[in-house]
Amino acid sequence: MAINRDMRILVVDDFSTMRRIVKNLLKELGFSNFDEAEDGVQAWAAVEAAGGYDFIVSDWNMPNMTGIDFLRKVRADARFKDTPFLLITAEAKRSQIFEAAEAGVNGYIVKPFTAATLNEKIQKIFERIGN
Amino acid sequence: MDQSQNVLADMKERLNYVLSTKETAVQQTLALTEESLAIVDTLRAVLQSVADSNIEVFSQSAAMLDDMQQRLTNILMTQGYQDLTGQVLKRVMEELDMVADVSIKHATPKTVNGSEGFGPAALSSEKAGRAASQDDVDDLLAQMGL
Repeated sequence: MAINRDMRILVVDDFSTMRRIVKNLLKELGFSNFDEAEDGVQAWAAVEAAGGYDFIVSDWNMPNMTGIDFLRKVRADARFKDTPFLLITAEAKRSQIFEAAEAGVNGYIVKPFTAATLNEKIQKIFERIGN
Repeated sequence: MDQSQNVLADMKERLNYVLSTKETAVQQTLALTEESLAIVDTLRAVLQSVADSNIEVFSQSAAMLDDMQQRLTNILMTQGYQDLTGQVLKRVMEELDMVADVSIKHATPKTVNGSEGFGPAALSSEKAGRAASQDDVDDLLAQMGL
């Protein structure tokens, strides 16, 4: 099944370098509709302002509100709870990976990662939810 | 006491300098790489327009452009080191604050809990209990039905 390349994507990372890298990779995969946020607080404000996104790609370790707390906030809100959520993070403790899975993450990529990994995980996420 | 406070403040400032100099260089590398990727796109379109007149030259050049695009994308990905090393530098700066609090103000150090994030495993002792690769992560998630 084809993924909707026009979907609205929120890219969240406190390092602008990583936001830029992720956006470039997504562009290469054919996506073009992005918003950005620097931490969970900004990201949550963006989600509310936009009335939700079709896909969220977030870091874990960020000031003000972490990615895992942001994920929980999204899952706890009836309006946004089904949003596909991909974590791209240097956090790789087994307990954290379990924690993220329990919180309802759809995909988990550890940094440093490759373009192929990102592509594969996005395909998998949208295949599973039957886009 | 004042002196050690000054040394710690200098150390933080130096680390900040490293972080921001790296940031400037990385942003410049990213901008140049993005521009080069745009040139590859344009070249591909130009090449397509002459594809009929010499199919051999076309296919050879198209393959070279694909190669170049892949390398440029790898340059982009490599810049992710700024994020990883930046997280470690920020952590060290926080730890310097902690050292200042403990040794100078005799305050109790705060501990890092997992929900805040640990950052990359920069210490060999931090590798324990961590997934060693994306395959490891995928295996763990598969166990949880993801």
